[in-house]
Amino acid sequence: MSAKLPSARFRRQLKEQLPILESEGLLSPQQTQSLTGRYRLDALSAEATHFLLMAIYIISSVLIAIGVISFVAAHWRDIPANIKLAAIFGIMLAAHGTGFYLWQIRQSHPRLGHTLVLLGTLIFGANIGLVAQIFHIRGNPFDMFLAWSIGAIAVGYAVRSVPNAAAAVILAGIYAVGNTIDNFRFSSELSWFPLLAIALFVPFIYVSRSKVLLWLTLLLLTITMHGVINDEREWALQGFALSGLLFFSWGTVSQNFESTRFISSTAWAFGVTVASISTYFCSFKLMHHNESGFDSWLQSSSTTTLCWMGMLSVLAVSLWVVSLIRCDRLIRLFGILIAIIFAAVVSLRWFMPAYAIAFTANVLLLLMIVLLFSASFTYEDRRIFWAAVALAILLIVSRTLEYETGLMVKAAVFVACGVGLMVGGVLFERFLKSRRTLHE
Amino acid sequence: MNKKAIWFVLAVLLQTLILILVPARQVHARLTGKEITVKTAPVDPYDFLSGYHVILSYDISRLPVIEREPSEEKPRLSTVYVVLRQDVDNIWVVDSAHNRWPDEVGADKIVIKGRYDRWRVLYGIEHYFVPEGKRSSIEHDLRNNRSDTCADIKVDRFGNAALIRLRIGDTVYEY
Repeated sequence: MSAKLPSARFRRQLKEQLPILESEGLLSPQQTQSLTGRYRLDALSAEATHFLLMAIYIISSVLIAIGVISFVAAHWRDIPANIKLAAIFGIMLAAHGTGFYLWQIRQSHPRLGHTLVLLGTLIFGANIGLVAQIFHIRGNPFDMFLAWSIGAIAVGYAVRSVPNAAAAVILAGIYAVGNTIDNFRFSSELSWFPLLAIALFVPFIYVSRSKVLLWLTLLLLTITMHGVINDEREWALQGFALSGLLFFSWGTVSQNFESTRFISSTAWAFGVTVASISTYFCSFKLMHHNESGFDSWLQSSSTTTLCWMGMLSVLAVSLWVVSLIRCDRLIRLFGILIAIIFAAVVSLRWFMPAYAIAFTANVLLLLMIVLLFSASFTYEDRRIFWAAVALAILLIVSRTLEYETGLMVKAAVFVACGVGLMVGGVLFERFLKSRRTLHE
Repeated sequence: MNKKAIWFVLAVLLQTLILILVPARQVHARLTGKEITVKTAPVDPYDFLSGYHVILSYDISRLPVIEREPSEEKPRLSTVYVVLRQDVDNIWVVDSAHNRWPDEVGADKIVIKGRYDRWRVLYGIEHYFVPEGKRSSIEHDLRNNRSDTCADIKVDRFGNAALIRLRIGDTVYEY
């Protein structure tokens, strides 16, 4: 039965150690041979060559693409427009065609072929600029990134290419951020964008099972959810709260199926993080000084924004309801807490004064910290423990600095945090050690 | 041809289609549009990605009055339909401006579509890419003929416009 190989670094070190172990009589020649075969240690140098070649191909493709893009700046007006168009189309089609042939048809140089297909997509982006230049068109410069992204994801789906899909996500992010950010504040003009991003990129995550793509897509959605809900406040916290609910629910639903389980831990991490960020900023009283009623919020939001917001909220809530059906108790508690955070962040500002909202946010944050600590002990996971510790310290220090307290109080708080951190860390490590002994 | 090849060909065709759609409106305007002349007042910046280009500001970019629905606040980048009429020296000037396509337009007038951007209207013909070798001569002409610069444009029946040539003093720069 073939198992996934460990890292190249481990295998290199093992290859160095095997002769030493054999010479010391700890391993027989047959055992050395078996280990060499099991970990494919003889293939290390060939793999290193392939890796280097792939890196060279990618770097050279990017450099060539930059060269082509730079070529846009040098006007080649003496050549007739027809020939210019034929040349740029020809280069793009040649890259795509040659790449596909080498990769999928002849299969002699799969990495080079794949890289050429990626190069074709990069040239496509340059061509958008070139065509615009040839026809003296200059619209919003960020709009070309959406067109480039659509072209890239089409190729990504066609040949199951993660680099093309990753490029598509990054380009879509540039389009969204460039088009909406104005004085460091997102507007709601692209409230349709998160749903488009979900429709375009999430299916590919299932198809490719790529964690890189999962990370990029979650990051893209987190950033662009700001544009969904028209918010007077600078930080658009409702977008984060909605993202938290959506991501956590997605992670919980994915946990129920073997083929989608790879999504869970990342989606949960993102969900908890953005929900915590949203709650953290809500815990400051100053964040709520410009509260307006529900009616005035409704009037200030456009119908289209409300529609898109409604659709996203329905998606998030539906996924959340489904996720609660079959999950363990602790995950269910997290799901309920994140849903409460979403409801609170979205609606409390219409019904409660600032101090009450801040107090509620602090309570929710405390509950989050408790759940995180509980999860760290249940799953015996250091990362969750330290996340809980970081959040707890952040909460304590923020409250201490936000409210008027004397220097002595501040000093006591900081010392208590430091001591608590040390004691907590040591106790947790002892717990982990005892659990390890128990398992053995 | 296997399935993957078919999908790949379709994806590349999509990329090609996007490239064709980029200039589609301008090409349609150039092929089917009516040629008119408008007054310009250009400014000359440098853009790294797109090379040297002249930003053209037209007299028709500034609208005296826009007919719009009562109490409707014009947001940035919304569409506006400007009716032009021929004035002295065959220069076309603004007759009126509307939120939607005007119901009746005389045969001696033409409708051009623009995007309202704060204090001016953009028609997609504001940029003229300048060859590197000709930059200094164009700059010199622009400086000496700021009030004597016109542009010949074509406007199709949908209001799309395409820049055909730039006239700076006695010099003509064809697109």
